[in-house]
Amino acid sequence: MAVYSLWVSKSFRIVPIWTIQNYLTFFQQPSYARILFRTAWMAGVITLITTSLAYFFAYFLVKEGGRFQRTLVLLVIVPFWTSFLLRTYSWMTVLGEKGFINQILTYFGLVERPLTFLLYNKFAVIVASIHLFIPFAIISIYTALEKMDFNLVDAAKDLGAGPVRAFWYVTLPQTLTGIWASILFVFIPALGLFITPALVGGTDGTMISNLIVNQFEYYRFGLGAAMAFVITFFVILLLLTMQRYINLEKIYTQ
Amino acid sequence: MNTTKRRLEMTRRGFLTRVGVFGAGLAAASRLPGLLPDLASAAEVGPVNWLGWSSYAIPEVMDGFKKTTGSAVNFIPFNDNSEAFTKLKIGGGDQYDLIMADAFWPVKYYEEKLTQVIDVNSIDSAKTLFPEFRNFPIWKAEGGLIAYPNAWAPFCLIYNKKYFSSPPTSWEILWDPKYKNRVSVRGGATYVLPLCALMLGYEPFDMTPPQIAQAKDLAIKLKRNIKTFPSISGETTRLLADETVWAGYDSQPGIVWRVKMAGGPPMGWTIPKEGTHGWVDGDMLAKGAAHKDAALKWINYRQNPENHALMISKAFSGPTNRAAIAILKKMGLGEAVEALGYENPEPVLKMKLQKPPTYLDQYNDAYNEVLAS
Repeated sequence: MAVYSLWVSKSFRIVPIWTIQNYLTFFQQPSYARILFRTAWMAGVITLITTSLAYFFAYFLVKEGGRFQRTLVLLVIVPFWTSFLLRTYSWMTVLGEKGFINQILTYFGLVERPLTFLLYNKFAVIVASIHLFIPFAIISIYTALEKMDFNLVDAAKDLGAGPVRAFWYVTLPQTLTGIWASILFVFIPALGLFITPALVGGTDGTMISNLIVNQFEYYRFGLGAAMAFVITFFVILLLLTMQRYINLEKIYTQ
Repeated sequence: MNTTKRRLEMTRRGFLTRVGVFGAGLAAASRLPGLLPDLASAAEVGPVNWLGWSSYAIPEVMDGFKKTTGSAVNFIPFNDNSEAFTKLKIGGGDQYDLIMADAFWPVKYYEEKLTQVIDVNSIDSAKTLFPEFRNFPIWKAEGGLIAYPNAWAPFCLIYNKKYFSSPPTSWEILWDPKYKNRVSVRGGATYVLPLCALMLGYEPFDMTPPQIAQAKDLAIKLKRNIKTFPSISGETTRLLADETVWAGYDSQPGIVWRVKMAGGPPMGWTIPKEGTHGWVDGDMLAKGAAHKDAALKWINYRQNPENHALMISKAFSGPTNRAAIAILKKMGLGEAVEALGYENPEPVLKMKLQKPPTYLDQYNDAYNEVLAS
């Protein structure tokens, strides 16, 4: 891949001449930079919403799960047993104009006509991706919460802290490792989403992987490989930046 | 405890030794006659690695072939001619036996020495091919054809009769804000840009770089008006059937019947005044195909009149086998046969056929810019 990224392809032929032309093409064409920014933005939104929802759910599991805790954790893992593609397709039947949501809304007279903005846009990609990634986030945060000593929260409350203050100063710092793990496990794969934007993204939800695949389908291995490496550099840069502020080793071994 | 643990653990050296012994054993076994199938029987037995469009992969036909010959068909789908070309160029005959392609694409494959001539006389099913396809001029080569004819159709505009009282006369409706988010266009550089070329009065597959730039600008405007770029015709069928879109540009009028079969609303199809381009597709035999004999048997089996008719009844592309027409009529599809002109494929010879664009890389760049816009 690294070698290909430094060679160019022309009309279904690879020209083995060393050049950085592919990287220049990527950075010189505003459309590629724009789609990279769009991809990072969408991955960020997916990560933020997924981690927030996962935190609430994991907290509920640990505090209120009781004897059903293990069963609920199992239910979180169950979606892993079904295909990624199938889970994405299922959102087409939920969000479509004749899909589940629109049928419910029209049945109860809440809307006159089916909502058309639910499918084939960024919104659909974000919703479907949250569903795809949330098990990773829940498991990461659940592991951190399960290890936490909740007596400390009681102690904080005894010392006069309200529930919000106790959460902010006691629970959150102790579960940060889980939150960072969730961010990593959602953000990085979200940057590489391909099937989801291809199926439910319409014309406006295209992400960088869709363009990379187009390059490979047209035998343009050089530009495709260079684009893939730009994403890789972006992820490495992100990890190095994170390394300055958090203990990544602790996250990996959590 | 330590002893048990030591027994369970495998050192790197131990692992490599075991792999080496296993590999040597396998290599020795392969030399024993009868223990592993030899290359000659592999060519006969298959499996046939078949790279094609998903609408032609009919499970009952593949199962029937397995039952009849004992050979399995390993179907690998693709969406676009250039994607298939790339796959064969990388994988070659070791990985793929048969590859489907449109119109002038087989010529490119053959020129690049990726495929071999098929001796049509050795295939029984070819006896009932329409003469137009039996002697398809651009596929003729010494010893036969460079692709075995499968199906044909013109690209067209399919519209929902509920929203269009008369057939649209121009492709322009795809850009009309009145139909914003209610139209779809088949996705891919070799579909979207040729459509824009037709609007601009250029040759769909022979645009020059300045013309491609103009077509790209038009495609960006198109993108803002359409719902999505379906990657396969089955997706267009679904979008029309559930009325997500009211009109769509795709590869065949037969989608009208596919929508009908899916319980969708009444559809019509038309070729607007700016004209269109069409396709004839076929199966090519990869050079050095590992399962050549089985692959030729598969062509013969899936193209016999009964199986050909079954495929047409699902894909609704134009048949290339004359004997399939009567079977289609018996299947109750006489109306479709008549309306889609299946009995007379002569117009195929006059259609502008799909071909690899002269500036294919620029087509792809332009399409990526459209997607990123």
